[in-house]
Amino acid sequence: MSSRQDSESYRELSLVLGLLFALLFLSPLADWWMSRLWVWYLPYLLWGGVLVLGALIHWRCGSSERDDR
Amino acid sequence: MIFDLQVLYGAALFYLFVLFSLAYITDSGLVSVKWVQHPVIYVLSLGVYATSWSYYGSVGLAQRDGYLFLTIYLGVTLAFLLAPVILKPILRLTRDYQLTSLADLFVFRYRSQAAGVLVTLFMLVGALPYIALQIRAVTETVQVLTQEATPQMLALVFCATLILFAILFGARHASPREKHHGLVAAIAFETAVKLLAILLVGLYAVNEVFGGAAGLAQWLAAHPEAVERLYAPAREGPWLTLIFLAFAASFLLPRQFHMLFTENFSARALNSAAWGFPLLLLLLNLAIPPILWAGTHLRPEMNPDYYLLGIVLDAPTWLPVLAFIGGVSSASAMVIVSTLALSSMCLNHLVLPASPPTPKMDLYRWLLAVRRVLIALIILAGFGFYQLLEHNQGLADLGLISFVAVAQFVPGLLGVLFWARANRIGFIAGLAGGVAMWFLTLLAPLLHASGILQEPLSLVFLRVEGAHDPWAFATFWSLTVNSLLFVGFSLWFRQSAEERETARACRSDTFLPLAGVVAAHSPGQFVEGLSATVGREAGEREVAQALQDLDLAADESRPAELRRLRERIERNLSGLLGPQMAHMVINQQLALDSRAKTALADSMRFVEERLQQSRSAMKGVTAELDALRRYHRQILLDLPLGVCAVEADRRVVIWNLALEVMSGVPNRQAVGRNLQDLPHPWSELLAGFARAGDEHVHHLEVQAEGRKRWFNLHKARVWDTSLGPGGGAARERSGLVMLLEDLTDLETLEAELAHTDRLASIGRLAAGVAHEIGNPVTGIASLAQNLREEHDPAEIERSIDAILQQTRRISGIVQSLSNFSRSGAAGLEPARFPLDAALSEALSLVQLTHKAKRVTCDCSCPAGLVLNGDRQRLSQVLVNLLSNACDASRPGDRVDVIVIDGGEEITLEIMDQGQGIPQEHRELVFEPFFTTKPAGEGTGLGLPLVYKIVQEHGGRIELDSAPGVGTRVIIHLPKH
Repeated sequence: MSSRQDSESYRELSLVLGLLFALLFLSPLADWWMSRLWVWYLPYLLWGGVLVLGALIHWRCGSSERDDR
Repeated sequence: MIFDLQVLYGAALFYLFVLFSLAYITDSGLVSVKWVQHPVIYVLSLGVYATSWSYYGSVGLAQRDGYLFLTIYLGVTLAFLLAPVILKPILRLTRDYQLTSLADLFVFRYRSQAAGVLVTLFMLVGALPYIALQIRAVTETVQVLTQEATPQMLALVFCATLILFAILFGARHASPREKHHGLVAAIAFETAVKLLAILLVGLYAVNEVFGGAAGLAQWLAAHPEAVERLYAPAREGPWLTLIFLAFAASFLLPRQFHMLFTENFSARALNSAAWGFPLLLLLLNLAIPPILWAGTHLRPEMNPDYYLLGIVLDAPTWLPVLAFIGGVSSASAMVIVSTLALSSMCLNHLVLPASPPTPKMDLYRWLLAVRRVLIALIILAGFGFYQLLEHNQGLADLGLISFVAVAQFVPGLLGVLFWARANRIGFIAGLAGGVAMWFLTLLAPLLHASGILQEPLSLVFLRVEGAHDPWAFATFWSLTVNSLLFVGFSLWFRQSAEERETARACRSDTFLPLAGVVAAHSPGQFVEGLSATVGREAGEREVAQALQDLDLAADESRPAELRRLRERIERNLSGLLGPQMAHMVINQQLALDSRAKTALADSMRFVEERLQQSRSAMKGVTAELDALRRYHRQILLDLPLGVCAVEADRRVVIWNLALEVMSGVPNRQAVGRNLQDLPHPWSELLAGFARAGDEHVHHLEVQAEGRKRWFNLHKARVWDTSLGPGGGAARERSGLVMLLEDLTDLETLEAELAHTDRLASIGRLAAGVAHEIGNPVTGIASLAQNLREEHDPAEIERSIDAILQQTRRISGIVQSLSNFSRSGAAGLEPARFPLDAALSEALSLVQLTHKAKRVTCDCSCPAGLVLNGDRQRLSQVLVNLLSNACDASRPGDRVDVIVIDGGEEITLEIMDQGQGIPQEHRELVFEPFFTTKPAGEGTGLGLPLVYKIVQEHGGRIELDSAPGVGTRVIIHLPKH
């Protein structure tokens, strides 16, 4: 895959990840998991999960993106 | 445990010494730049976001508002996850246009110095409480550890140390082009220290206070309300508002903007930070709930903001000291970076507009000195604010006031990135409205509570009556007023032309090539122009730097390149003086002739670059058209002929690869340059051909790179279709496309072929020559033999004369053969020579070979007839034709050679009485390798070479033959 395609994919996947983040933390779903009181570290788990996906996206597309300085 | 003030002071001093040393050795180059520029260091340096508010205040905020404290980091996470959409475009703008702060960005986009002043003042007002907060956090932690009131002197010493550090390592260069590696390394180190400290305190809380994870779980089981207290405020509080505020603050706060964009060294590092920085924040916050519960469990008598210290008071000494140092790290990093960012803004948007540079000052020294004074003033102003503050205000409150302040830039920033119609009036009106609401709803109550404002302003009551949550209320109303004014005024008022131009520059999906032509004609004139404002030294340095950036020569004269040079100088000056001042200086001193037509080459280059950048966005027919365009362009570039297209004013637009190789002139040097300005001999060759009436020139000889080269040239007019076909105006405006065909290799090959043919002739002549030499040699031998017995001096003299005569005869033969056989260079070597001499030489050589046939050769040539041409090649013509004539003759036949002087032309006829050439062969005899001679006797190259040589001399050849009667070859040669 060319660096340009990587760049486009990176941008699109980042947007998808942003939407996932919004779904987990900014939607009524956030009220739902906050009211369950499962474990105290649940927010950290969700947060960390999103970041793992972010790192995977970075390794797949962002790391080979051209440094258009 | 109570700590001695001296211990804490000593620990802080030691820590700051380590920090200074690290910055120093990094700046000295002892640490590899590769290490400093590693993405991990970049991510850690962004940890400046986590100030003492995060370090200490998160626990207090968690105690009061539960998991709402996480919003301050979740908002950052969202902003960084969307880095390719939000942060990358800002990074592109800041790097392309050398913008060092948010104020620069707004001034660049809205082309308004007033906007810069407003943004800077507001940033300053918004940041001062935050700086004060850091000083307060340090002094209060000392108070917590020593259980004594902190002397004011300690705060002042802390501020003085920060001033020293910021000046030494943050203001080393006048230009932001130079990155501050020492500063970046030091800030990254500070983040590492606070991360280590907070994680160790968290571990202490779990392991020592609760006896391990199981103990903590037991405690939580026994106190289920502890977890509920975390979640409940998050469900009910301003969760979304705070995430939004943190989202905005993550890149709009001066310190964040500075580390994210100004000190950024690669776009790839930002990609790593997109997940790395939120991960760092997650780790920094992971320990907050255990520390809070440890504090709840131990109940130290202190503000929950300082539980992080309170729970480790009884731990081994190193842990509370490390926790204290972590706090110092958080506070000092924030103050240093914020001050650097604010000093740059104040310099560009407050000081420089009020006191513009003059030619007499040393600009760089002056800028550095002012920046350093500003650093000191800003930190001292923070200290002043700290003394005025009401100390009961929570750390988080002070931080959030700053967050709401920077959120006022969100509408303006959306305008920069996404709304081309936004204008300066809308931006200023919106920002002013938002700032007013921020002041009334947040700052005025704070100042009133601190006793600075005596009377509460009437609008403050809105906050009390209208909402139970001050943050949501203040954020909503300030941003609503801000956005409405911004949009309303932007729609109501028209944009200036400059704003339209920068709006396009800010949108990556629109494009406009540089228009106009610079009035200055050389980099030297640029220096003269700039010197009038910024001084000689700065003028020379900036022009030299821009030339180096663009890889241009100091004698550059192409208008398109000078236009780029002007653009680059403006960008570089923008980093030095701010965008508005740079724009003003450039417009004053390097005026543009906007009526001049933008060079086609320049437009083409920009269109190419733009299409290249947005290729992936093309779809359907557009993508197909682009593929077709690239295919056609590639054909031009890869054509094995040199292609040079020029505009009507003879500026080069296309200079393909073959022409680069042929001429040794690189494309980037040729494109945009006038044909006259190309290096020798291409300027004369191409400019001359462009002027010439002929559309084709064949076999043009050119002396290039110390050797002869030959070209065929062709040209065609490229009509300006916008003016309609064929008209006078269209003719004047039409460009040219010229094709160059390099014949040098072919010429060399032909020279080698001719030489081969000559050697073949020599082979055929060898027997005759040997015989001819053999006779005189026999005569010489006999004479020498007789001389042994001869005593008569007169007879000896006669014999010697006879020997000399025979040797002259041999020398003559050898000389003729040698002249004929020597290897000729490619191309003609014209000279004036007597034709009769060349003719007799050729005749004698040929007669040697055909002596046995007793062919009679009769030559009639006017004496003293001189021909201008390549003697060796023309001799080859004569030898070949005479040999053929003799070969075709029967024994006893005649071969007649007649030369007629026709004034301008010489006609040479060679007639034989041989068998003649059959009709079917006449068309073929000039074709290479056609021969009717038996194998081994003819190469088939003789007549083709004759034809070629005659043509090269501008002559022509005719053939008249009748089978059984004979053949007549007629050659017409121009005399000169």
